[in-house]
Amino acid sequence: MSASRRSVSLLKTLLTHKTQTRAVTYMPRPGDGAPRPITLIPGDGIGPLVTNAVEQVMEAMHAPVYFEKYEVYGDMKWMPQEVIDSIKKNKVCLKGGLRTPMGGGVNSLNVQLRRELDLYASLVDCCNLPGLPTRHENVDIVVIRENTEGEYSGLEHEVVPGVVESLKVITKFCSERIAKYAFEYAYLNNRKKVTAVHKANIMKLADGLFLESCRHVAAKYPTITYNEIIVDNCCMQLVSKPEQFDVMVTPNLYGNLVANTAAGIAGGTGVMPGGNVGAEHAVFEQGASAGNVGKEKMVEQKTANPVALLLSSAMMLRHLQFPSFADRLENAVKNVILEGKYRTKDLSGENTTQEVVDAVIAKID
Amino acid sequence: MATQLLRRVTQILSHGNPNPSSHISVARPFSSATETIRATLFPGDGIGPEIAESVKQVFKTADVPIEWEEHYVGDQVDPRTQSFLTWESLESVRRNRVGLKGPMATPIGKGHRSLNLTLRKELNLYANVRPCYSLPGYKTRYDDVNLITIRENTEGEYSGLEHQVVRGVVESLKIITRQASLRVAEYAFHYAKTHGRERVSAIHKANIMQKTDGLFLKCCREVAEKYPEITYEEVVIDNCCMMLVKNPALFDVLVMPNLYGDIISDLCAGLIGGLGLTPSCNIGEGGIALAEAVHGSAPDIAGKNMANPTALLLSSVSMLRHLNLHDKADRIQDAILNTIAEGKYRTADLGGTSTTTDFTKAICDHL
Repeated sequence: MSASRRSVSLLKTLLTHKTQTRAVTYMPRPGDGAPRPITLIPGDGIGPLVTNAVEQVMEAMHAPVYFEKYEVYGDMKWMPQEVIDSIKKNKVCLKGGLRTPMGGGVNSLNVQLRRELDLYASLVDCCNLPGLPTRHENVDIVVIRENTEGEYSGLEHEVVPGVVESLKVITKFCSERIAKYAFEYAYLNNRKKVTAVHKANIMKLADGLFLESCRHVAAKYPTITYNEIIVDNCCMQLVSKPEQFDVMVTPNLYGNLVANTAAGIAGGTGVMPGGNVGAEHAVFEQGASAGNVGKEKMVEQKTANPVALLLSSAMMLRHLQFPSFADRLENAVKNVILEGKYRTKDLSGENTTQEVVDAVIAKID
Repeated sequence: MATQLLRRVTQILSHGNPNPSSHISVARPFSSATETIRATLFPGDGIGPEIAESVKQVFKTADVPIEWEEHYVGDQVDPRTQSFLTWESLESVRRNRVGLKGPMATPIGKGHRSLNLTLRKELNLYANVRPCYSLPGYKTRYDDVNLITIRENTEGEYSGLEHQVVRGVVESLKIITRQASLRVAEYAFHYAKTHGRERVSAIHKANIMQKTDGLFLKCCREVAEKYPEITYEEVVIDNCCMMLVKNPALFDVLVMPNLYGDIISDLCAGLIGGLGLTPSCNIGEGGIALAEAVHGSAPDIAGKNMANPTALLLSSVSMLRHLNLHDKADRIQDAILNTIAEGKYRTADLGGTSTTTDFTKAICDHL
């Protein structure tokens, strides 16, 4: 009698026993818990919606951060000096989205910000979120893209009427530092492979220089596998066999395409976190925002997906060395996606931004 | 399948309007099926000769009025063309106005131009057309792909103009001209009209490269005004990549400058199953069309009767469409699609065990 009762109680404890995994925390310095200022740029279009979401969640978690908001719009000519000064002081910024108007005359503010602060590495983390059905499985790709030179130098001129030239500039200095960042990232995050994406069979000197720098850095990390792939083959492999890629390092333009393709196969722009980082500053934003910033319908119906910016803000919390807040936020977001009850339109759901935010806040423990 | 039938019906209906555009000269009246047309055939290397044989057999069974003129790549550099392609071969293509090219492996070495570059420059091939549609019966992750990518083939980022400014700093020039952009835009809209397509999308990055891609877009807009029945839209390239991998059914005809075209056309080839199944056709000044198979020469399976002739066969079908032999083209295309859909005869790369000859015979039986 007692044996069966004991086994029943044992069974009960086994079934209800939550696996106690206490995160091994780091030892902070005294005073590290003081609230940190973060520059916040809501931007235009859906930007304010998603940054509002982050603000709400941060407050619900009582995270040790406070936001200094600045109004910047995509059609301004230059980034206001006060915004740049604020970022230089705070070292960290969270950006909603700035829409670059088409048709010329205005330089992209995103590109300007990256150049001013020398944010030379842009990182997009594309991995399948459990609970989100996609056509491809086993996607776990980090795309690291050189952010300052290459095709986006903005050096164009009209030679004669009807003939326009654009300069693509590749320097050894920038290529080496992005390669170093990529290998260092792989090393620090236990990644096994770095792939360089290029088109050196056609652009022999330019992409050839990029590849040379990558090879030079690869020699210093013998534990990490390094290989090279041509960009058109790379896109083809991404849509057929994405599991072969791990960390990818690319120059500017190819990085844009590869990051958007990888984000698309892993679930879409609405859920991929990312950011831009330089030697001294970091700006976190949605990983790959392909033109959704200006979508009027999304703004009106308030159906923008806040998941990407929430996951980026988790990356930001880790960057600021608040790992347990980052873990809690990430778990809450991942649980909401796993459950599948609250989803915005781009994930084929029917909920608004606010409903998803409420669900995340409810899941924070 | 239903959409393909609908396309064919609209094609037949649209043939009633003769195309008045003067840029694209449809060289000769190809309407009479009894007149034999001469076409140049470059079998190429590796698996080239086997799949070329396949094409010849299928055409013979289908009674296509084409007489092949075969040319091989020489093993000596011809001083007149500075490459391994002889002057006679190029003259033959210029004379016949149509050609079919198998995979050619460029020999490594210096002192000669690459074969593809020679063909492109000498024949002034300015547009590369790749129709990408899901093959029914060959399942990939994407089932509803039905789009055409048209890529500008002569300038853009592939001008080859690079130089080292100082040590460690390299510049590469990207050139966009009004003339080339107008040419490819004209061809894209003409193609859309004659093949019953409803939408043309121009792919660009004009928010960053404002003058260069801006010029390309301006030319596309000018041409779009002349074709008011075709919807025209402009899509930024990163947005395009995202939409292609999420929902490729959104696109119809895509027209792009050189680099974006290269990447997007290979991406679309990946969506439908790879380069082994993708047809391609290069269009040159004066209505020259050179259809080609874009896969490699696969020297490891050469001579073993294992190669998949689908890419070259579908390319020859697009060559027939260029010649306005639409009923023959449709018959052959249907035969190929039905053979693959049945699944009984498939070559090794599609997961089957048939040989090239068996596959070809199955297609001939379906005709």
